[in-house]
Amino acid sequence: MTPLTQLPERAGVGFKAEHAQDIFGSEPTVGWFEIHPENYMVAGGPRLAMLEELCAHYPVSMHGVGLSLGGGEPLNKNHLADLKRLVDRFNPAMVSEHIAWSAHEGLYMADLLPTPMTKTSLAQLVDAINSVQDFIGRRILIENPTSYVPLPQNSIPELEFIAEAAARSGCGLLIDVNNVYISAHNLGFDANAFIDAVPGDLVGEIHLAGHEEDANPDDNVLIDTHSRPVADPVWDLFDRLIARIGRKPTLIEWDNDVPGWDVLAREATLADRHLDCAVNDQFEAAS
Amino acid sequence: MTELKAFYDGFSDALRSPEPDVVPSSVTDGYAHRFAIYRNNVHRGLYDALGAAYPTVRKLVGDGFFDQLAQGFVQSETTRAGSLALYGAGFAEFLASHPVRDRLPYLPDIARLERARLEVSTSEDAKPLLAEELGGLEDQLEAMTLRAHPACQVVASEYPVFAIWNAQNPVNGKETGKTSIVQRAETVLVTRPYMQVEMRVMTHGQAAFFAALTRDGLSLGDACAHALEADAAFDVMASFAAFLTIGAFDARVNIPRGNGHDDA
Repeated sequence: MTPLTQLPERAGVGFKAEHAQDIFGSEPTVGWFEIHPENYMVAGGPRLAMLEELCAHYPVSMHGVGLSLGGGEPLNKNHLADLKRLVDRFNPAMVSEHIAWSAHEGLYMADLLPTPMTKTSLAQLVDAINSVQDFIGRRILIENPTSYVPLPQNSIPELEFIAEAAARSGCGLLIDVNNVYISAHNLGFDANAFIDAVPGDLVGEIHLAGHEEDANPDDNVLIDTHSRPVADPVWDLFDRLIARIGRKPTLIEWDNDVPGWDVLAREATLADRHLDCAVNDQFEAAS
Repeated sequence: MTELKAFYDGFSDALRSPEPDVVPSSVTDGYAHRFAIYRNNVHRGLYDALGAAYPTVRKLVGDGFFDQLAQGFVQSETTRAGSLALYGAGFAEFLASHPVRDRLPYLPDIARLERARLEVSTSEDAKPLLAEELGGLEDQLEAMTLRAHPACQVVASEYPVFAIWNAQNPVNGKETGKTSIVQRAETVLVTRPYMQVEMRVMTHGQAAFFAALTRDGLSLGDACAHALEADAAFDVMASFAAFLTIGAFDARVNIPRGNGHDDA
């Protein structure tokens, strides 16, 4: 099995085609880029050429949204084969997916839907992760979900569920700190306690993103919109996590109302500064 | 296992339901508006993906009506791939059987043109046959057969689909002016010799020539005769040069050798 991460322990940014000119024109000093492999599951043309160029200049992480690992169904063989083709061709520094489902009976749903957390679904998830890792010949990372509704089926606490999935399958964890904050708020658990219990040796990557409050005045549910700068309490949780587990490759996600490249680059620089501070804190704590 | 299956079935049925207020039994009272977040993500995501694949159709009908069309299309789908990179196959057929056709009869063909553009844009990369590769082969040309480039499609319509598409997609964002669109049939050749999608309207003779050559597998000589039969004004040399320039043929071609031609 490959090591947990080949990404640099710096801030990376989600790649957007609209930033291609800024990125390829000046080659900014951002540590790495993330792409969704689904957007590149085509035979040829300018899209793949752009990915080729990106991979020639930066480490790239392939973060899937379509495998439906938590769907309790056999994985879609065509989708898996398409993923393997991309992984084999571009040799990304990292491959990751979500603890979620996004397809049911052959119909892709274009969203990350909540997987019930039970003994049975855990076993199914572990089987799915194993299938992927065996098929592509790599260790992957799995990301903690964003939750909006409490599912009555749930019988295993989230962190226990995802850590157990990683321990049994040998995959690593991608901790989305924004998701932790949103889910804790929406479902009413303690985000700090979650962050403090994350098994650091299993974490291969961290995600940060902006969120929004729902317009519904009777329920201030938070929505994972990836449409804004990272919120202060999410930075605080990030600092708390990296102060304990150390530097990790950290992604700034911004997928809606995408700003100009300079704004995104500033957010990445800010994440790098937080990562630097975390290392200093660790030295201080050790001395 | 059965309890989980019931969960996934119920959740996805509610997400797919045309009734926006349907909530699965796994979502407890008081959380219906939160389930709506998932529902909105699913539908918005699919409508936007369809709109990205058919931007000109969306412009022609407006965002609001496009969402209504998208809702009907999404509802009609029985399979959907986990990648939306080529999403929207069959949208033209959906539009052809939709009442919108009474008002905008050319809309299904605009969708076919946009689908061709998307497929051409994402199909296999290959070298186009260049004019210079045929230099010195004048004697063999007549017997030669040619294949269409893998990134090449033909869209034939009873309507001026290229003119309509062009009016909605001005170059560099500049309005091309309110040029009136002449009602006529257009057959559009869509190619991508390298990384840029190109379109040309073919004359009747050119369309007959190209179909005879690449679809029916006739030799260049026979395809010319066929084209001249269909259109006496067909200009062989100018047309063949134009097809080569736009990258319509695959460079992987068996060039007949012999008759004093020296292999270089």
